[in-house]
Amino acid sequence: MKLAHQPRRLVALVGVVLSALLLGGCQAVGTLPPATEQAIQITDLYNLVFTIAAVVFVLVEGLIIWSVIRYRRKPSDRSLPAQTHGNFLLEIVWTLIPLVVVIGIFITSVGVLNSVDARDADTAEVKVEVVGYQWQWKFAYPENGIEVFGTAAQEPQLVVPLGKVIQVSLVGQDVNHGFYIPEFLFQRDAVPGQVNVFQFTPNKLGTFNGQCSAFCGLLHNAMRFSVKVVSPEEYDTWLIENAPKPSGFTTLRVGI
Amino acid sequence: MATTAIRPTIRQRTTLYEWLTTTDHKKIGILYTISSFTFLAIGGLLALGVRTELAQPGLQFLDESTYNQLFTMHASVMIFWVIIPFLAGLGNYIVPLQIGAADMAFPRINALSFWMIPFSGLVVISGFLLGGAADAGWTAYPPLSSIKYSPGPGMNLWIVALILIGTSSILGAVNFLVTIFRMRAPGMTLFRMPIMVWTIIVTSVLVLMGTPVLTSALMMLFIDRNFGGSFFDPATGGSAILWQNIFWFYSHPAVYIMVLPGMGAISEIIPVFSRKPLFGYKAFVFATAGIGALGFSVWAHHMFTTGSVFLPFFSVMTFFIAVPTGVKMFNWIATMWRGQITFKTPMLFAVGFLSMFLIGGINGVFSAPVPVDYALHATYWVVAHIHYVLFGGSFLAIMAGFYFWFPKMSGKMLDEGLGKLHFVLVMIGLNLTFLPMHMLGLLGMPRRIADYSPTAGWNDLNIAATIGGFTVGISLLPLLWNIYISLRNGKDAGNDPWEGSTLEWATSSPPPAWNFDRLPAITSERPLFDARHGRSGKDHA
Repeated sequence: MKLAHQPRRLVALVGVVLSALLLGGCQAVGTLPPATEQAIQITDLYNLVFTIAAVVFVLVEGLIIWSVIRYRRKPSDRSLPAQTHGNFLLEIVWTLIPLVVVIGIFITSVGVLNSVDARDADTAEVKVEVVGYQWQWKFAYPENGIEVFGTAAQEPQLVVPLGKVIQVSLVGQDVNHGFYIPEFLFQRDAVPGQVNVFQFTPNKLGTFNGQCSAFCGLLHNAMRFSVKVVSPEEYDTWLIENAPKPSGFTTLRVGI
Repeated sequence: MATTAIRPTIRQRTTLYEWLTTTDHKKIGILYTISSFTFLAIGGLLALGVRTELAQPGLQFLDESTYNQLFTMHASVMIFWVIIPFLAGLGNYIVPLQIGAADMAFPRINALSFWMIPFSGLVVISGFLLGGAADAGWTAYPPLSSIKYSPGPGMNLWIVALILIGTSSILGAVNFLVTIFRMRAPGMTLFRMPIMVWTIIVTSVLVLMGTPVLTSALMMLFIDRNFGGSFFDPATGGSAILWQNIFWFYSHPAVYIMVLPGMGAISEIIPVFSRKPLFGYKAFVFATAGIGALGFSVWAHHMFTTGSVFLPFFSVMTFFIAVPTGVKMFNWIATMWRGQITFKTPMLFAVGFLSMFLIGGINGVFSAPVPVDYALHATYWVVAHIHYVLFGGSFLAIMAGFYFWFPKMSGKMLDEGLGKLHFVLVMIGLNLTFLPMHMLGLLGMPRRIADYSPTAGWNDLNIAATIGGFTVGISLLPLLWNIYISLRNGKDAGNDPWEGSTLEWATSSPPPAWNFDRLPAITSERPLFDARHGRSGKDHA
């Protein structure tokens, strides 16, 4: 235990390890590239919170490490250090500054929240119904009579047009599920007996994976799906190709 | 020959009988500690099962059903049978000593509170042998936890065990409050009490306000499951969200129940090893009370994504509760500032607590702004957060307290080298386990999944977390070895091995059954410091 006899070296080692972790951490702590208008705003808010958090972390962790190194007891320390019981002004300052900072973040976040949670049925250009059940999803386009059912063998895909306002009505059929798409930076619970409505505007072409985020029993991990964002023209073609036969609703083969 | 063989047997039986029937708060405190270490081993093995399965994509080691039981039971055991009782046990041992009392106010109720813990623990774990333990997550959200979707016996056993352990907590809280308010030594005014005692007061109030509410929710769930009730069944007019509101009304304050006494222990340790009084004693007391009060107005931040929460209120309250916690952090740092710090093992763990709990505080604030919570909720980010709070926070504080008070409990010193080895291993292990989980959360890995896609980009981070998990497991070996060799032939601790300031150090180690032969004069919150150095000035401002 050489380290044990060298507390200063031990402390320095802890400091180095912590700084390395911090630096390593900073490179991998951004969000995924956002794929909706709403996700861009959430990313901006996340980055703001992260910046403030990083400053607070470096400051406070720095103070801890500094105190631990600087104020170690030296052999010459015979008499007691000054017995400081407090400092009223200092304590007021370090209560008020964090208070102001968190109120600032709160106010900013409410602006983003109002925008992300905004839903106006009149602006909705595509309306889909999503039902979560043990252990898959149903995506329905009631205006077009299309229904997509997922199976264990094949994940369902939600096809939506780029740049349009998509409105999702979400409900759980049996237990709670969570409709979560990491690149949308968004999730909403699918609760039985309660229809949750939200809107999003995809701004990036591509296929985005999603999966159930609310623990729902045995095969929770198998409730995967994807959202495919296509151009409005392709979307129209897709609608026509998958439109129901005149006889009524078609159940679509999953995984387009 | 015959007599020599019989005598030790009788003595052993007497000792065993004495431990089984004791009403001495010190023996009960030690029983709490032994029980908590035992359940720690169980909860730890459950966690290693989870981490082993998650090391690679694919199901190699467990099936989904077992996996779901493992993570449900890991959380339940660690919260209700390890962290809460560990802290209650430290409080049981230390609080009567710190206030100069001879025992708890209700010694037999104290024994009852303790014995309900191993009993209820056996009830909840017995599910593994009776056809499957609880597997609906420790949050047990209906409808998943209903009889229809969780038909096994595990869920009923879980409910009964939680009601029992909750009752144990309630009895313990009443006992603490009466003891602290009625049995303090002459001269010990409220504002001369050690901070540890203050945190136990606030914790006990949280238990009294929160735990009966959880018990009522558990009873409703039990009625729903077994007698056809419909409190939480949306199909028959109930509400699934109602459970979440009641559950979190208890379970968010429960986080403070699990952290505040640890903060109390830290506030005893840092001043002693810095040779200074706690900076801002009264601010610390008010911050503790503030956390307790605000703690009951933030529960719905666990439910931001349900679509049935008044979001701005719970968001702003969640931001506010970060402030008193920050105040405490500054108090601790200011206590070390210009002190003369020595790094015995308890102090190492205390500083470890400061730096890790800081992360747990900061990564929690990310969930206060609702839109960011939409992105992070129910992902591994949240798993990282709770573990920096409950492991980096509560558990490191428990270890700090254990190393600090072990000499008082046993009369023996623990080995410093093994203590430092334990510290280094646990710090490496916990960061290797839980730092990568932030990134997993940002990359979209939901919690509570038994398996994940090999192409999701989560493989390396999961391997790191699994290696870290096993490092944490291994870190407990030097601790157990340390306890064993120190009890056998450790150095004698004497009354006061650390130059402590509070009353527990004024009596022998271990203390006699009646605790004190005589007490020093109590004219400040540091009676022993005053006796050693003379009154160093005024009371804390």
